[in-house]
Amino acid sequence: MGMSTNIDKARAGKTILLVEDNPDDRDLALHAFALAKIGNRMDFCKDGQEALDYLFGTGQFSGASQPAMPGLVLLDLKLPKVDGIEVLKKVRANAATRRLPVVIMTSSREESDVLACYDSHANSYIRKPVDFLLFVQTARQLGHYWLALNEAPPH
Amino acid sequence: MLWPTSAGSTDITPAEQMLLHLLLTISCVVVAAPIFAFGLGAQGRNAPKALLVATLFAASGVLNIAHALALWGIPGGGGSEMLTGPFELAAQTLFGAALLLWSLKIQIEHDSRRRRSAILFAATAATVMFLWLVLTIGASLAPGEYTSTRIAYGVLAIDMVALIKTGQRLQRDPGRSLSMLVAATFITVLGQSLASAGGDGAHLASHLYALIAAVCVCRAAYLRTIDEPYSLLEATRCALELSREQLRLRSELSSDGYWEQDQHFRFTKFSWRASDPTPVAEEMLLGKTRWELPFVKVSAAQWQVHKALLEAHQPFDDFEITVDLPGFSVQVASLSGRPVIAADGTFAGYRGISKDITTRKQAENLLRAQEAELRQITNGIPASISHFDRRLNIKFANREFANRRSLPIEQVIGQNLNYIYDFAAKPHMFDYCQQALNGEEVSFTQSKVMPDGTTRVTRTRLIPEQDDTGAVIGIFSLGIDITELSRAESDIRLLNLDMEQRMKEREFQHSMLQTTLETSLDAIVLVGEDERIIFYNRNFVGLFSIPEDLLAEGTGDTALQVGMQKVVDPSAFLAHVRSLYQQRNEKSRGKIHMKDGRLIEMLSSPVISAEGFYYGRVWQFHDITEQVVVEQEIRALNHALERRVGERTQVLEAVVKELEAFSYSVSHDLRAPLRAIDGFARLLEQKHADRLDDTGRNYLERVMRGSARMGELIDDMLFLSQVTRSDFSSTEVDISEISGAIFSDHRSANPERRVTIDIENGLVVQGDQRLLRIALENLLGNALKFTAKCDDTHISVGTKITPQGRAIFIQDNGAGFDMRHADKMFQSFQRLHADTEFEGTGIGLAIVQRIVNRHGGRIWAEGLVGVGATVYFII
Repeated sequence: MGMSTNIDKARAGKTILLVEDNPDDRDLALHAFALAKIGNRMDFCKDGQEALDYLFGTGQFSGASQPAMPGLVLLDLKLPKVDGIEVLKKVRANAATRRLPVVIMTSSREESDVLACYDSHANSYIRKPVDFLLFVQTARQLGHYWLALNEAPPH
Repeated sequence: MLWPTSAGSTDITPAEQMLLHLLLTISCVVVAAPIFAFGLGAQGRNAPKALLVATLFAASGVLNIAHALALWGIPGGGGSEMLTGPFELAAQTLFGAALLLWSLKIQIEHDSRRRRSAILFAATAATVMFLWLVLTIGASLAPGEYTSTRIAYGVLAIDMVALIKTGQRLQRDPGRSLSMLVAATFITVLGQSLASAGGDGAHLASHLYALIAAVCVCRAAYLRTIDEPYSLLEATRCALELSREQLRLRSELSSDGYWEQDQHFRFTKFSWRASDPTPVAEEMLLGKTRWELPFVKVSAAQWQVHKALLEAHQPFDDFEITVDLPGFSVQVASLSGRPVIAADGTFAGYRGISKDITTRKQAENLLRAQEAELRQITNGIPASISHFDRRLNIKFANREFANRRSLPIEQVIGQNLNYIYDFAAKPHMFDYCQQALNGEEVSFTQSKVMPDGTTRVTRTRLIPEQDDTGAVIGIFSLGIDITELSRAESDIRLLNLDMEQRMKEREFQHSMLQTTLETSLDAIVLVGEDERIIFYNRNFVGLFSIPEDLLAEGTGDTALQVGMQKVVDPSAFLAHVRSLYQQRNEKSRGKIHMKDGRLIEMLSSPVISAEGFYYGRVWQFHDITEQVVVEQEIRALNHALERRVGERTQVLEAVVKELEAFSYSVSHDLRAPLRAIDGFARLLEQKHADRLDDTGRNYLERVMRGSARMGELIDDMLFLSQVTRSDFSSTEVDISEISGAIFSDHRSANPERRVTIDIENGLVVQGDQRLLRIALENLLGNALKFTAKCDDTHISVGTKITPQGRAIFIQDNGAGFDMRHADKMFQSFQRLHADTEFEGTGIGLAIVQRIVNRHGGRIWAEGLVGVGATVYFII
């Protein structure tokens, strides 16, 4: 499977940053991605501030410890310290992270949330399904789409 | 003895006797012939008597011949006395009979010659036979002369009677000549008869005498026959002469002239009354035709007509010519002529009369001029004037008369009134005319539709025209057009009616107004321009406690003086009122504090007519004491209410915020644990299933199902709250189109289902597009869900008129429901079917109801288990 090889290759180089305060959800996501055979490295941030530090190389991630720019950010909205929308806005406001693919992955389907995310130039909005099998499927599609199919903005 | 009895007894010789008798016999024939001629001549005229007389004379003559022959021995005659006697006597008898018949005027009708002859023959033969028989029988009874003599006397007696009768007749009859001769003859015969008794000489003489007498009679009769036509001619001549004389006299006495013309129309004769002053003398005309006379003036056209008439040899009448001789006044003559046709039938000229009609013409002209003048005058009168004679022929009419009938005046004059009015169609017109002809003056009004469509009303008077004796000889008619007048009359009538109507209305309004004012809760007083009270109502009396007798007096000022005593500030009140009386156009609204504590609102408005005339002023007083108190209370209440509403709003706002926070939290936080339950349960199932027994796996299964269900419930709950809270924007929403789209989506998602869908076109309502789509998705989703077990699904979307109004319905033939639970259907999470039957959380109809409620509409459902369900909604 040549195609699969290419995708795998492309995936290999990219980290997925999951910003999620709920450890259950974090574990479930990890399991889901694993079950979906998404082999990319996954980094986690437990709140908005940490996510910002991660992306901008500030705080604990300042200096040499600044991680590489992730290939995809999965962002929850309801986050401690700095909420998801705020994070998104900041990401979009910064030149370095402006074009970073950010997919909102949250429990809420509140219209206000959806609208606010798109207004802040989220790339996608995904609702975390309660059904785990559905979640696995979602994770697979997410990885496949954003990390292989989608042409990422050049650095 | 009337005749010689024997030859031997006479003195003359038999030869002489023979000769004499022969002569007598010839004489008898000669006499008889003219008498016959007379009889025949008389036949042509109405003279039967004369004829009879003549024929009897003839018979008498013949008998005389026979007598002579018998006496003197005609060969075979024998000279028998038996034959001569009867002949002689018969002749005498018939003679007498003839005379008697004439004198007694006995008429014997005869119509043919043969019959006359028969009568004659029979009479003669009978007489002869009778006498012969008498003589023969008498001779045998008594021989001698006795019998014959007696008979002779009998005959003589008859003749005597005839004589007397003839004498009587002669006295009455003027035509004597014949009668005289007949009488003479009779006397002669009588004499002859007497003489014969005297001897043969006398007998002879008597015969001679008879001959002469007979000749005389014959001549007389003959002459009479000849003379009669002549005398007739003479009488005619006399009559002609008389008429000629009369004619001459008439022509001489009349004013007519007489003229004759030859076949070339040249005058051959002209006469004029001698006394006439006309200077036209016969010699001026003779040999000339009428048109060759220089003084005769006739127009060329008239000449042409006249000449054509003459050439055709036709009679002419009243041909008018003008005679204009220099030095004399112009005269007018009227000529009438008749063609003269000669005995051989050729045209011989003309003959005629001329009449001087100058005077008549002048009179006519004068009359015409007068009539023209009259017409001129009457034409200027705007009334129809006419004059008819007794036969209703129009003798005069003015232009207006003709104009009203749309006829030219020339066609009207001389016409009968019937032509104008058509009595058959308008018998009343004829009756009016008859009344007028009976001497009554008649007036009548009639309206007539003119050709231009307008209606004219005419008042006509018929005035009888009477002569000196009072007899009606005609009618004067005067018609006056009273259209305008009658219109004005009807206008006035209408105006009067209108006025009455208005008066009634005014009275009605007045009474209405009075009642309104009287029953008004306000105190009202009307003060006139002179500041006198015109009207006040009961409340006014009550308000100021002004004695009514004071008000009845009507002086505004007096009432004011009383009224001001009741006011807290009388001087200010007085000043205010006075100032308003001064400023007439001012309106005023103010408050008066009464001494008794009441607060009165006072309104004052001037009453000013449309023309700006000031009638007075209305004062209106309204007790607002209570009103003020109430107003204050209301104001306080309002304040309290506002405050309370503010408080409530704040509370509500907080609640709403809380609710929002709650749902947000539910949305985010309630699902997270669920996800964890489900996720880890799955992981447990996938990765550690081998460590669980079947019961454990079953429990795990239930955990997962419970979490999934709870996830759905949470989602639905959130959706429900979202529907309630979302924005509402009203537009036109096409229900038909949305329904179609939903069904179309369903069909592509479930191609295996057989569904018949009937959507009414053009179901358009006003509402929120998004919400209505959600509602329809739920309703149609339900319909499809509950028909899932049907083999043949029918779903229709349409409208129906219901007691609540025009409702949209969605009908299916699915599982239906029990109407007893219809009220539960729209409650959240209420389900009428078991989960195992039909899946669902029971939120769908609750959502639909909320959406319908948000549109201010209504929703209800009807159903029957196993038959189907219908959901109605009105938006």
